[in-house]
Amino acid sequence: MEIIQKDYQIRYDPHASTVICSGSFRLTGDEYASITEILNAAADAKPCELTLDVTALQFLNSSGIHTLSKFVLRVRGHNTTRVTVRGSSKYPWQHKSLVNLERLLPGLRLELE
Amino acid sequence: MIPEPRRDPALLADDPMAEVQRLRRRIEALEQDKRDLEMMLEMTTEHSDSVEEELHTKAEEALRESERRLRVIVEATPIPVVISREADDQIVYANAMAGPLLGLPTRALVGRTITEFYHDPNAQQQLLETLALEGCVDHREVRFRGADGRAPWVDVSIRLLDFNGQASLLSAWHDITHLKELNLAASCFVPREYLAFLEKDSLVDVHLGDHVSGEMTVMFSDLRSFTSISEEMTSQENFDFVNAYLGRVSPVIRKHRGFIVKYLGDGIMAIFPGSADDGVQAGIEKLNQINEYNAYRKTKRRFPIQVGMGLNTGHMMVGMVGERHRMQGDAFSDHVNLTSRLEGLTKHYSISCIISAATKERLTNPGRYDIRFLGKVQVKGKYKPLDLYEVYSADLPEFRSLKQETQEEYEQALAHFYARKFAEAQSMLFRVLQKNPRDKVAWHHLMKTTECLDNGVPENWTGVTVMASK
Repeated sequence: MEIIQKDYQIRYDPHASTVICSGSFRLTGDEYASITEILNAAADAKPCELTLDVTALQFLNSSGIHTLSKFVLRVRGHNTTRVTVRGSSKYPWQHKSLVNLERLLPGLRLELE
Repeated sequence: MIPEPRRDPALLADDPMAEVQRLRRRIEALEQDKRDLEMMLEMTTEHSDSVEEELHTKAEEALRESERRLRVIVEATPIPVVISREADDQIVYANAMAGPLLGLPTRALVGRTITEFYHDPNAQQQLLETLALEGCVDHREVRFRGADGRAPWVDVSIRLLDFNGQASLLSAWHDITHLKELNLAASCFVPREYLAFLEKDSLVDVHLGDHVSGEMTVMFSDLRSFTSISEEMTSQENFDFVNAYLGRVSPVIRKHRGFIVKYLGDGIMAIFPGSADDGVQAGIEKLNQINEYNAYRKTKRRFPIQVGMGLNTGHMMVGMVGERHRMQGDAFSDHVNLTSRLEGLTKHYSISCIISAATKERLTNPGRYDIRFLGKVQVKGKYKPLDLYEVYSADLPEFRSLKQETQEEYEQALAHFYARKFAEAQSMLFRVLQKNPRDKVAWHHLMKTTECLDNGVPENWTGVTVMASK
């Protein structure tokens, strides 16, 4: 599953249990529906390990962090999956906001390049 | 967020403990939801703050980068550029070229106001008004006042700019002093009025063969007996004399909306594109200038000078002639040639100014000038004779009033002459000369009348004087 737009891309690879986000998520609340759909599919597959790779996600607005939070809570609800979030310290927002995902899902692994 | 389990009414009644357990789990789930929501709110808020901070930092960096780029560009610009605050006119930045233009080290410019350097503060005001009205100023010529006493001419362009967060003006000053001086020097050779007449903005646009055709009034004037006068003078005295004379009379041409096409030694060829009145008025004022000049020369015990001029109106072509490397203004047409002959005829009649009938007919109000009929002439090769008139408005007051007094009788005498009534013409001219014995034109006509009376005239006699063509 994937969405490829000019400004952003999101791809879910079920075999690798990885969701890769890149570009700039500068959408409004409703526009996140299709992204939520992909994230939900990844969560609902209930793999043992799931990786969310935002290394190339340059920008994420408030609705975006809300969407990621809901994804993390959904995974937590299943109580079957260990989540790894890969990010980059190149983008200051990642360093500050991704840490907070751990608070929602204790045990979440954060790997910042 | 855990959905609420379906309630079994039977349980409530049968097992109160189970119901308590169920409610406890429900409360725990709600508390977890509450914690999650609070955490999400906190996260979103923190994220917003960090993104906002990041964007702000980026914006500041972008601004600093843009200002750094601006400085690099402005520093590399080979013309003086300054940035001043809109609020108080103070210079906040000047590139290396700005200092030399204003006669100060560049670093000394910062903190000074731009007004200090305007030669005329009103000029700055006008530029600021244009800026307010149009949002920019492009290529306006303004005179500056440098701290070193220089007064350079500057081509000014201004743009509004945000500099260091303040509303500012970016001014580019191109020093055009040398260009102005060159133009000024060039305008001595091809005057601005002539350029405007040829509808050219600059001398650079003037090409060989550029011309304007139309009805205009042309004036030829010449210093009488200059050749013999000049023989008595050294070459320097000659130049000084001619230049003193031309310096006095040339401005009169411009004053009456004419321009000098060319100097012909001590002579002047001028064109009046507007009206015949311009030409005649210029001629009269020019002769009055000569009268004044002669009064001055008398005090210096110098001989008086005399000028002859001819004016004619008609279709002509005025433009540039010569070759690519050497051009000058000139005018062509039969009317121009005739005018040169009219100027020559002033010697023949011993008067100062002759105009053609064409010029007289185009005067708005001929009655405001002193004009009298002079005679009929025919240019060799042309069939139609021309009526010529003498303008004597600039005669010295005594001669002028005598001519006014005798004009009616004088003109009647000429009418008799052309009607072959020579005896009547002769006696009338005698009476004119009794009143004004120094009227050389009346003497001239008396001589001709007497000759006709004494020798008789052929059948085809018309009385018209034939002029050799130029």
